[in-house]
Amino acid sequence: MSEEDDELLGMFVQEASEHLETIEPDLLTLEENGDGTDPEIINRLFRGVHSIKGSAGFFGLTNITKLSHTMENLLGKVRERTMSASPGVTDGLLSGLDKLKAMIEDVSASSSVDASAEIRVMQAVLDGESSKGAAPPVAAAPVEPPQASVSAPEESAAEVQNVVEASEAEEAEVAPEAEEVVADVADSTPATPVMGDEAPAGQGFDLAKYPEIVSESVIHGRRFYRFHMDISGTGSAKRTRFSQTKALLSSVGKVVDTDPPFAGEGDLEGYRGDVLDLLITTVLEADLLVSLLQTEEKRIQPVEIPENMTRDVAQPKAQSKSEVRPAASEPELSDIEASVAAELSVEAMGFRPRLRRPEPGVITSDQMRGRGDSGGGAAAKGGGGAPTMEETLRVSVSLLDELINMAGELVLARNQMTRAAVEVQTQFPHFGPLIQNLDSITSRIQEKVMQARMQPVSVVFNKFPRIVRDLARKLEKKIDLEIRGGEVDLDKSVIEHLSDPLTHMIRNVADHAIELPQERIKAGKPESGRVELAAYHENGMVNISLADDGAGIDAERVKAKALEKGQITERQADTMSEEDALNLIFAPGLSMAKKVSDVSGRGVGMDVVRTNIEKLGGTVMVQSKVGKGTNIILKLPLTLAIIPAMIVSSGNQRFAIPEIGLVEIVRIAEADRANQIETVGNAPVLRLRNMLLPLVDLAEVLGVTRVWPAGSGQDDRRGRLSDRRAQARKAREATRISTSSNLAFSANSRELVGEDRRDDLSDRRDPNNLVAYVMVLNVGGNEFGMVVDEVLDSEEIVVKPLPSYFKDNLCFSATTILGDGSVSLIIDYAGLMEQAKINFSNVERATRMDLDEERRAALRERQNIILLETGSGLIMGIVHSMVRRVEKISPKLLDTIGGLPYVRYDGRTFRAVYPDQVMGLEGMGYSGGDPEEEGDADLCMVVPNIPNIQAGLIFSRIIDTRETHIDLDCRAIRGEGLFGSAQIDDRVVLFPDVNTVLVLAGIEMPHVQSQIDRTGLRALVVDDTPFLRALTTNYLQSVGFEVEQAEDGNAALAKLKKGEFDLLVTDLNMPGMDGFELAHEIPSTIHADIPMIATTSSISSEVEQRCFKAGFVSCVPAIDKNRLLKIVSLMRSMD
Amino acid sequence: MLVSTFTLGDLYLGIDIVLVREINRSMECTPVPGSHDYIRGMLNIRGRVITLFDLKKRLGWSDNELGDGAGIKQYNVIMKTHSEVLKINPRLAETKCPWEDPVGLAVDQLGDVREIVDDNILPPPANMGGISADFVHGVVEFERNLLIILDVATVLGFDERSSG
Repeated sequence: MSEEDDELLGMFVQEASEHLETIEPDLLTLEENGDGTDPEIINRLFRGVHSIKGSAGFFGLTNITKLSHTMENLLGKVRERTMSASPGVTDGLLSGLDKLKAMIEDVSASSSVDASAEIRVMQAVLDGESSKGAAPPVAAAPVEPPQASVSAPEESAAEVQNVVEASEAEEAEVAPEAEEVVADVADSTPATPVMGDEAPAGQGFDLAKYPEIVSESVIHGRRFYRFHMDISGTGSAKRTRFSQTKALLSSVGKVVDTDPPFAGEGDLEGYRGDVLDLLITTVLEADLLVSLLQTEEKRIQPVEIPENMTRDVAQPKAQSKSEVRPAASEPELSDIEASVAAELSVEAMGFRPRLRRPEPGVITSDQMRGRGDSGGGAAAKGGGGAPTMEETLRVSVSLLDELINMAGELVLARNQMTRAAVEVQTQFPHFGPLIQNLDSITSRIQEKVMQARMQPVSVVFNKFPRIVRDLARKLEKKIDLEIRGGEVDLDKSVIEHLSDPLTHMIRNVADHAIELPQERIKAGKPESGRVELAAYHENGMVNISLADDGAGIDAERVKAKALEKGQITERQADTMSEEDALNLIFAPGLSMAKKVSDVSGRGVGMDVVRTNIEKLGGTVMVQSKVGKGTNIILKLPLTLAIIPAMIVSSGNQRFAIPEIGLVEIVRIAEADRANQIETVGNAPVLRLRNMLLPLVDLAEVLGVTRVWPAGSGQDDRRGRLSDRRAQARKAREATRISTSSNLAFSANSRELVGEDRRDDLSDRRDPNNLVAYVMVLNVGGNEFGMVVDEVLDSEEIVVKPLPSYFKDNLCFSATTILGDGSVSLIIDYAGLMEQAKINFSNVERATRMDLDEERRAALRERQNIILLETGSGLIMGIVHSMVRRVEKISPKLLDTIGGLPYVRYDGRTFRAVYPDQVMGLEGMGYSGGDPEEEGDADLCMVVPNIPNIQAGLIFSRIIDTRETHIDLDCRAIRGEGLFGSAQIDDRVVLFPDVNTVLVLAGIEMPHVQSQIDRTGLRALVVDDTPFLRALTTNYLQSVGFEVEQAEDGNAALAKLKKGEFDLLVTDLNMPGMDGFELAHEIPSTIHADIPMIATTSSISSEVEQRCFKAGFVSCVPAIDKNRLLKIVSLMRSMD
Repeated sequence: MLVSTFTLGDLYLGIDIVLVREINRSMECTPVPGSHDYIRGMLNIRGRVITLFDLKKRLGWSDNELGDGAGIKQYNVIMKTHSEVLKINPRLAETKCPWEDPVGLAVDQLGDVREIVDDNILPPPANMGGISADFVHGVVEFERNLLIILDVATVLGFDERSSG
């Protein structure tokens, strides 16, 4: 096959695949809606199959032609409404479609594919319909029903002659010519050899395409026939044969179209097939036509005129193009040349996308003819295309990839340029704007180029309706699949790898999650299971969620199974949270199917899902409620080509660590190494909060020469981490013990890293303050710590594949080029773990789970806090919502009246309170403050959010405001007016109880607390956040309550069962059992009448409504002491 | 054919110039921990990540033979890749250039570009010092020098049989 043919064939495959993509969903719609399907959809189906058939015929792909032909026949019947779209029909079509897909995917092998089974099935449907003798609805039309003509009796040539003569009387002006022609043909045309393959039954032409010809024919009483013409032989023989046929017909009718279509007779020479189908309109009967064309009768088949078209003709006034032909996209051409010319460029050759069809009537047949017969004409006609669709171009992926690479290089060049520009700018001041311009253009180019690689997820999603349908059939279930967000774009590379995991998930849902219809009815659910597949953007990632309303996953059963398989220990099973238990479904070899079906249940599946998604840099989450349903959420990066990464150094070398999977970074000062790093067995572990985190020293695993201190270039003689511990201990003895500098922050807070880095540099000058960093990484649910020397930067890096020369290297996944132009390696966590031979023993796993619980509790509610520094250098944190406003005041505004400090501000006088003095904590801060500076530096006054109070807390400056999790320690530092302390970043932050501080300062609170005295009553405070629990407890204690605490609903219930309480104050948002659930449980306890108050960090009318419904007396913001106490006092009066 | 020549210690080596993309002065490169010792690391040349082979180590020279190379400024001979050669000489690409990823060889000194006649290429003598016959495509006698034409595919670790 010549190169050109290859190219054309490629185009055919591409175009056919595009058709197949639309055919499948349309078939499913057809199946669903049956005869009620939008005629446009059926038309589209028909056109798609037809055009595949046409092009396949052009290439002589007889198998594809035959199969698509049969499908087309079946579809034709459906379209004409002579056959209803029964399940039998759609089944046949779908099976045919599958075979067709297989053949088109491997076109070269298509000739050896056996599609006879599919064809037989469809043919059976076709035959079954005809044999039933379904009354053709066109009985009244002047066209003979198909059955009749198919069984036309054989007639001899002599008889034909007679009939022709006989018809003369009726068709006086036509018949004489016809007679002559017949005579001519008898001489000039060689006898037609009988072909090897049988002429397929049915018709391949769609008369709806030629409404004008049809209506004209109907008016003139012409009929349509399909002539299955044998044109075997050389190119010129084909041409001659075609012209002769046309000439023969010219007196009695004409050739309307051919199948496959041709531009001109000249093109026939290139046609490979031996058979050409002609659509003929003529006044002749079938038998006459047979003799006229000197062929066998089986080659002539009548094409019936669709009922709607004949009707339209009967009422010419009502006729309109759009009615007849809802899909007005086919060119409307009135003679063979024009039709063939158009077909050549738009259909047979597959040169152009469908959307650029010529506008009917805009281009005359003469113009067309003048445009030649190749793609050139196609381009010229492009302008007349349908205006509604965007023009598209096919671009090869390799070209795109090259573009992306170059855009990446451009970004690097830009980065280098920007650096260099700093110096240049001092000499050439105009250089800055130029660089800025370059900068923005570069960014835009990169963005656009990346966009070019994006594909909508519908590419993957669209195959699921079919899969779900097939599965539902097989499993005898009813499943409705709803797809949302198909337009969400993802990088091609991500899309490509999404198909398998999603298919696994969908199979699982259909097999396990959705119950049998009768079970669903019993459970009070609709008969059909609902499955929703949705894609949406969130936090710069794309989420794909698969939700069902099926049976849900029973966490207990998963645990039992995992226990049985020895994947968890009994102790773990006991302590394991539901969430962790659900996550076990992703463990290898754990199948939840009660029995193995051929759909799923062999224990491969969900672990593959997780592995695949993690390979893509994504994560998998599962939520489930027994009896209610399951929701699996995949979080995926938009692209794999550019990822956010931390640049770290180890030894003298820099490495990139993808931020996905990075949980936190812990900074360990050399002095604290001994406290925090222990050795279990042979391996160093980090004691992080309650958990033992296995540590891997990056330099050690990679065999990089360690330098210490970082950057000094000297070899670190201390060797392994565990050895360094001893060293560290000595160091510790020698130097003062500094506070633990455990820096924990989420991986995405870049600023913090930058800030910290600066701190480091100064730290490093002091040899006693050497630090190392532990990158806490999560691999498949397991966490480990990777020790690096320095965290340098956070960068969006362009991922470049790892050269094949390193293919057996486990530790690296790819390379990148850093801002300074040097090459850096991207660490592959999983490989690194393997290289370091870490495996997570059960003990570690259990500790980790304990920790997870704790961490979750701490993470659940983030608090917005203001960090302030007192004059004595203490750092205090005040929760944002406790503060009405913060004012900057000049010390000059400070006055002393009657021995007490006041501030005049805004025309009012505020009592100034120095919290450190009031609480007697002055001595605790360092006294490094410059006393002189204090003299005129602005101060900062915090006005607490307490009504009717004219007082402000005075601090020297605001350090920061930050939303963070407070891990409040109420024991380490105690003091009146102090809730406790917490570590934020690196520093100890004190949390004052503003109310108490004010009381300590002698300021009378606006409400007299003694009015409420609840001494002797017991309250239960439920809150998962330690800080807030302490706060609420404190408030209640201040009015005399004896308070017990519980960290969640379950613990609260346990306490309520044991003891007697007079008041319940609970947080609404808690893990395990939340506040609403707790309220729901209360009536079943002995405390059925206990007054309940809800606290929440986000109050809204909706929440309040829910609270009242749930039986709460009131709902108050978590830190609003006054409101809480007011409600408590009101309750008193209610008593 | 035209051969780009260079020296490596006392050896006079050459590579078919069609396979050579460019030659640079050696520059700093990023070592790849855990890789073979004859891979010096990776370079960024105009945005392409290039793996640099240390030819001396690849030929198995001992530390003695390596000498104190500290003073010598080496050169990197950057090779074309399979797809690049494919555009110029498909036959050569199939037979002599199986590598797909950009790669370079670190050599000592650069020599001239020599025209040699294929017929003059002799099989490698058995007693060559400093280089195994596996790495040699053939030798040519040149002004009483022996020019050794490298078999780059073998040097880069591609089995000649499998690469055709």
